[in-house]
Amino acid sequence: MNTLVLEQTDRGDVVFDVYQKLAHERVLFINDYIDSRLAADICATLMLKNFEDPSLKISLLINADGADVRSVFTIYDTMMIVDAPLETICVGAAMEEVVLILAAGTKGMRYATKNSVICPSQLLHDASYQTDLTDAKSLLDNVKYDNKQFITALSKCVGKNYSTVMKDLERKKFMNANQAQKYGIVDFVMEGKKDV
Amino acid sequence: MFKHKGCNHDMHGSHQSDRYAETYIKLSAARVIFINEDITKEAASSFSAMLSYYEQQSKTEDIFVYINTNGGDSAALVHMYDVMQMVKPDINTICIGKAYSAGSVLLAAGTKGKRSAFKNASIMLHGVQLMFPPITEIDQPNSNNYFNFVKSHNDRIMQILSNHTGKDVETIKKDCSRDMYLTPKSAIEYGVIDNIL
Repeated sequence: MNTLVLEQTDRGDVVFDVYQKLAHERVLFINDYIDSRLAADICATLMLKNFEDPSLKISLLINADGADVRSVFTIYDTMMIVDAPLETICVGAAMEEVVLILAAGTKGMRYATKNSVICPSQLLHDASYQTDLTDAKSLLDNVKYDNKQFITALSKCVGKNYSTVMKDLERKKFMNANQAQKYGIVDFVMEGKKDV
Repeated sequence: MFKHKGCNHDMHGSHQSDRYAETYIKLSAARVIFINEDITKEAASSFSAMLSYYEQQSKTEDIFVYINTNGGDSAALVHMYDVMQMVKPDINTICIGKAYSAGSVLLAAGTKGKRSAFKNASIMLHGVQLMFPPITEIDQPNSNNYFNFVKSHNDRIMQILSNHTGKDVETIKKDCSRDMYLTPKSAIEYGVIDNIL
C-alpha cells in the first residue's frame, strides 16, 4: 500500500514517506513482528530524537503480535537510556514479550486504547535447533537467564515484586485494557476523542 | 549537520527500509555506523566504505559502530576486521541487542576501553562453522585442502580474539568449540567488552 505523500516546500515538490514525517513529529510505530532490523531502526531513531531534543516527548504506537527476544531487549535498553519522556500507546495488541516495551514508558504516560488486547507471559523460546545435549544445555541456560531478566524488568515497570509476576505469568494471561491498567502495565485507558 | 526536512524518494539505502533511511543519514553526521544485518560481503563493502569516508572527514574524532547481528561469513568478517584496524580514529563498538559468532569478534575488535554493550544484550562466541557437505565443487582429492584451509582460517580468527580479549589461544579454542553465550557482565570478565551502558 502506498505510504508516500507529496508536499510542496520552498525547494519544490518533495516526496515523503508518511512514517518519516511522523518521525519528525517524534511519533514512532512498532508494528507486526519485531525483528532485529526494526529494533535497530527504532533504537537509532530514539537515540537521534533524544539527541535533537531531550526534553520533548517521543511517542511509540505499539501494535505488535510477537517479537524476537533480543529485539525487545534492544528497544527496552534504549528506552532506559534516553532522557526524553516516552509515551507508549497500545493500539490493537501487545502480545507476550512486547508488553515490556509498553510497560516501560514513562510513568503516567502509558496508554492503551479501549479495545486493545494485552497479553503478558514469560518468555517463549523462539528458535528451534537440532543440537546435541551440551549445546542444548547452554541454550537452555541462556533462555532461563533471559527469562529472569525479562521478569525483573517487567516487575520493575509494573511495580510488583519479582515472584508475584513470575507466578502470575506462568501461563499467558489475556487482559483487556482495564485489566492491564489494574495490573500496572498502563496508566490510562484511552476512550473517545481525548487529547493526548 | 544535515539540515533538510524531507528525504527524496531517490535516496534510499540498499539494505535498510525507506522508512528509516533518514535516521541513518542524520546519524552519519555523528560518525555512526549500524551493523544490523548478517555479515556478508555486501555488508563488508558498505562498512569499509563508511569507515574510509569517516576517516577522510576526520582522522581524530571517534567513530561509533552499533552492532546487532546474527553473524555471518568469516571472509567478510576478516575484511571488516582488517579495515577497522587500519583506520586511524578510535572505534567505539556497542552491542545493542545481540552479537553472535562473527559479530562478537567485531565487538571485541573495537578500541580498548571503548567497547560496550547494553545491559540486556547477549554475546555468543564460537569457532568458524562450515557447511557439511561443502557446497562448492571440491573433488575428493582436494577436500583435505579445504578442511586444512578452514582450520587455518579458524586459527587466525581465534588469534584475533586472543589478541583483543587478552586470553591465550588455547583457552579461546577450547571455549569456542561450543557455542558460548555470555551475558554483558561475563563478557567484561572475558575481555570482549569494557563496560555496560
